[in-house]
Parts: sequence; structure tokens; C-alpha cells
Amino acid sequence: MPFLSAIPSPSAGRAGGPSTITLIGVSKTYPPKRQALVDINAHIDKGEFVFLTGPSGAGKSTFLRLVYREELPTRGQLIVAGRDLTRLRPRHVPYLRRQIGVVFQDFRLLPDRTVWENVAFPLVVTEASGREIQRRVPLLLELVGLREHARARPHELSGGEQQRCALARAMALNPPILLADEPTGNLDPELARGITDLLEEINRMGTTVVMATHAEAIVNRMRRRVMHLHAGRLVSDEDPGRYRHEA
Amino acid sequence: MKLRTWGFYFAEAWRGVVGNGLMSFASASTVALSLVALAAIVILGANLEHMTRMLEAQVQVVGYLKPDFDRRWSDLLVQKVRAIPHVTDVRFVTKEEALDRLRSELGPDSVLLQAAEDTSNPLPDTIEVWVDKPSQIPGVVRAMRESVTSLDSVDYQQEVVSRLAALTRAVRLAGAGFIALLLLAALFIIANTIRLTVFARRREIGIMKLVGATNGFIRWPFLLEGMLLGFVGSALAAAAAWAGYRWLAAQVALGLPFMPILRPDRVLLPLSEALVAFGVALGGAGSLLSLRRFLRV
Ligand SMILES: Nc1ncnc2c1ncn2[C@@H]1O[C@H](COP(=O)(O)OP(=O)(O)O)[C@@H](O)[C@H]1O
Ligand SMILES: [Mg+2]
Repeated sequence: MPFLSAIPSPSAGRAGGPSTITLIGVSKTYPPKRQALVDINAHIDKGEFVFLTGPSGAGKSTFLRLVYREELPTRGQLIVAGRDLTRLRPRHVPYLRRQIGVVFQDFRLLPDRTVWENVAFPLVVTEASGREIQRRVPLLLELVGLREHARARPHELSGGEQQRCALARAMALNPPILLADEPTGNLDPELARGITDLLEEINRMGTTVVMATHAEAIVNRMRRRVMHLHAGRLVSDEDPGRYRHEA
Repeated sequence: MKLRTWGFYFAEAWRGVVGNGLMSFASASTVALSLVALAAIVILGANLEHMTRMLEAQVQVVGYLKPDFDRRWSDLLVQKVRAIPHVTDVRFVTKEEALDRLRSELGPDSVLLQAAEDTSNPLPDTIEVWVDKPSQIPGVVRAMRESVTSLDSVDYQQEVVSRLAALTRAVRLAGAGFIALLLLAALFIIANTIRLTVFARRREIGIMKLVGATNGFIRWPFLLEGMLLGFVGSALAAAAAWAGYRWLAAQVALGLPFMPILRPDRVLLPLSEALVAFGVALGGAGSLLSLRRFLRV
């Protein structure tokens, strides 16, 4: 409907793009009444790199789970990759997830499959062609520096290598948004640095990155936008920001 | 759908069967046992029905005429009997015809036959009567006795036919109940096996969902796994039914040569097809049952 898109809307260029995340008055209460997020308003634009900080239990993971629609908000509106998640039908959720790569502190690799198979997994389960898989997996392994380890199983890798494998998997479908939930939480500072460098590189290629962390050194070194959560509230949002200890 | 995807499905299904060996074995055996029971009851029922039908097709009432019966009255006699309600057909059989029949049934060398030919033909003239329903036979017999004065005696086999029909019904009914229970058991053990597989692979399912696999995609390997279990179980059952009924039919042919039973290959071929189709469907239904709850996003 070209005539509709010609009409300028107040949020044009902000909400609704494939790489943007918009939260409007979002609250999340876990049953029976644990308030994990309270009235969050935020917009993350295409190509941004955002740190989500805050002490344990502040609501960082819940924030990310809402974005990839593992959970639904109790109140408010959430628009991710051009979709209103409060109205997204369950059977459309897989197509949202293909727009979002996710990595976790515990990597979540499949232990009985090789690095290659783990990285190819999103391509296989979304029915990519064999040619596409053969073309794409080596590129991803190259990106994360695991070319030599294609045939290894996850337990044969170091923690840093496992996380890089997970990152390659998260990027397999070339998603416009990448979420990372304390991706360096299990790694010593040296390896953690390797992962954040990689995230930065992915961000430079145009992917919007949101990383939950309480690694002070990383946040202060990178000088990016910092959204700080405390007890479920967004208490500060600065760009560039520094790590905050107090609410 | 892509060949590669089917390769993935089958590889995953196989992973499930092997990874859960003991339960897979248990569920395939349960399917096999219940389908063997099903096969036995189907075969028994089919044979009973076959016997009933054979008996029904035979002459149902035979009237023996007095030796002094004058054959000039035979047409009139036939018309009279045909007019009785529920009679579908009537035939007049002369004693010569009857002797011919006996000859062809017993073979040319029978001692009995030689005795009959030495003297004059000892058989009486008869009329053979077909009745539309076995339950109507007593009424027809009564009417024949009243209206045909030259009737000497009457033979009929209503008892056998109606008892056989009742037996067939009873076997079918009891069999249906019994089989329903067995199949329910098979369904639940398959569902449980798949549930175990699903549980063992919850990590993998979680990752599949995370990276954007549709529920349909996630479901297939488990569906195939259930169908595979059903297939193995039903193939075993078909093999057992095959061996069992052939053996039984051979025994019957030896011991009770006049017993009208169905030929093994005529029963077994369609039965095995049905068993396998049914087993596969059962397996699929079992996995869907256990997946229903799991696949809510
Ligand atoms: N599934 C859940 N059910 C109930 N409470 C939860 C659940 N997940 C998180 N919470 C609670 O919500 C709050 C925020 O948790 P979380 O988002 O995991 O914080 P963070 O990732 O910042 O440590 C905590 O109090 C936590 O106990
Ligand atoms: Mg967390």
C-alpha cells in the first residue's frame, strides 16, 4: 500500500523497523506477584549497541525474554522487528525468532553434535537449502575463528570457544537483532574480551546488539549506551554511559 | 518438503528410538501384542461369519415325501410351498437325482453306494426349501406340515445357523471391548515413550524454538518416531498372525476336513495391510497425544 507509506507518521523511522525494539509502558509480573519489570519505556534503534546493566534480579533477563517473546508483557506494548508482540499469534512466533539471534551465559549448545552441526542447526530447522548451508556455515566459523574446530564437539572446546560457537549459531540466519544475556559471565577477562570484540564486529556490520551484563570493566571500556535496571525499573539510560553501582 | 529436511526428521526419529531403547522395545511389543489379539479376533469373527453364510446358502428345510407320492402332483406341490410366506425358493428333487448327487459326493467306489444300487433306490423324493431368515424356519415348517399331506418328515437346521450367528455376534462384541482396552493401553504406552523422548530432548526442542523452528517442524521427528514404533509392532503382529493362522488352517484341514474355514492367504493379505496401517496410525496418534501439551510456544 504505497499511498499509506507516503503519509508521514510520528514514529516513522523510529518504531517498527526490522532492527528496532520499542517498549511502551511495559511491565512484567511473574505469578503470583513478583514484579520483574515496571513501566519500562525505551527505544533501541537500528545499529545500536546497548548494555543492559543492573544487579542480579534487576530484570535484565526478563527484558530480553520479552524481546524474543519467551514471555509476554503483563502490561504495555512491545514492538520488535516491526511486530507488535502483544498481538503476535503463536504460530508467527518462529518467524519473529528468525529475526533475533540469542546467546546465553551457559552457551546452550547441543552436546552430541559437532561445532559445524550446532552452527548449521538454525539453517537446518528453518529448511535452508543444502547449498545455502554449505556456503554459510564456513563463513560463520570464519567470523568466530572456529574453522579448525568444525568437527569438534562442544565439550572439547574451551569456554570462550563454546561461546563463539554459540555466537556463530545466533548469527546463522543473519538476524537484524542480536541479544546476549551475560555472554561473558562464565569466562575469564581475556576470553570475555574476545567475545565483546566479536559482538562489536557484528554490530559494525549493522546488527542491533543488546547485551545484558554486570561486567563493569567491559561496560566502561566500550563507552556505549547503558540502560541501567534496578528492581525492575529503568533508572538511567545514557549514551554513552558508564557502569552504575547505585540505583 | 525438502529431502534434506526428511533426512533430518528420520535421523532425529532414529535417535529417539535408539536413545530410548528399552521403552521403544516395550511400546513396540505392546503394539504387537494388542494387534495380535486384534488379528485373532478378526480372523475368528470372519470364519464364523463365513460358516454362517455357507450354512445359510445351503438348503434350509428338506421335506421327505411319502414313498407313495405321485409325481404328477409335484408342480402343484412346489407352487403350494412357494406360496408360504418367507419361502424364497423351492425345488423338487427326485430320488434318482438324489442318488446321483450322493454318487458324486461319495465317489464311484463307495460301498454304501453299491449297496444302494444292488437293491432298488432306497431314497425318497424330496422338496428343498430356502427361507429368507433362519428365524422364520419353524413357521415355514409348520405351514408345510399343515398344507402338504404327502409329507413324511421334515429336516431343518435352524438351530445351528442361529446359534452360529449369535456366537459371531458375541465374539465380535466381546472382542471389540477387549481390543478397545488393549489399544488404549498401546496408545498410552506409545504416548509415554514419546514423552520420554521429548523429555530427553527438551534442550534440543528449546533450541529449535529459540532459533525459529515451527511447531510443525519440531513435531515431525516425534511423529515419525511414534509411527516407527507402531510400524515395527504391527509388522511383528502381522508376521505372528500369518504364521499362526497358516498353522491353524493346516491343522484344521487335516483334522476336520469338512470345516468350512477361510483360506489363509485370502484373510491374511488384507489383514496384514490393515494391521500395519492401523499400527502406524496408532503410533502417530500416540505421539500427537504426548506432544499436544509440549508444543505450546
Ligand atoms: N520464571 C520466573 N518466575 C518467577 N519469577 C521470576 C522468573 N524469572 C525471573 N523471576 C524473578 O524476576 C526478577 C527478575 O529476574 P531476572 O530477569 O532473571 O533478573 P536478572 O537477569 O537481572 O538477574 C527476579 O526477582 C527473579 O527472581
Ligand atoms: Mg539474568
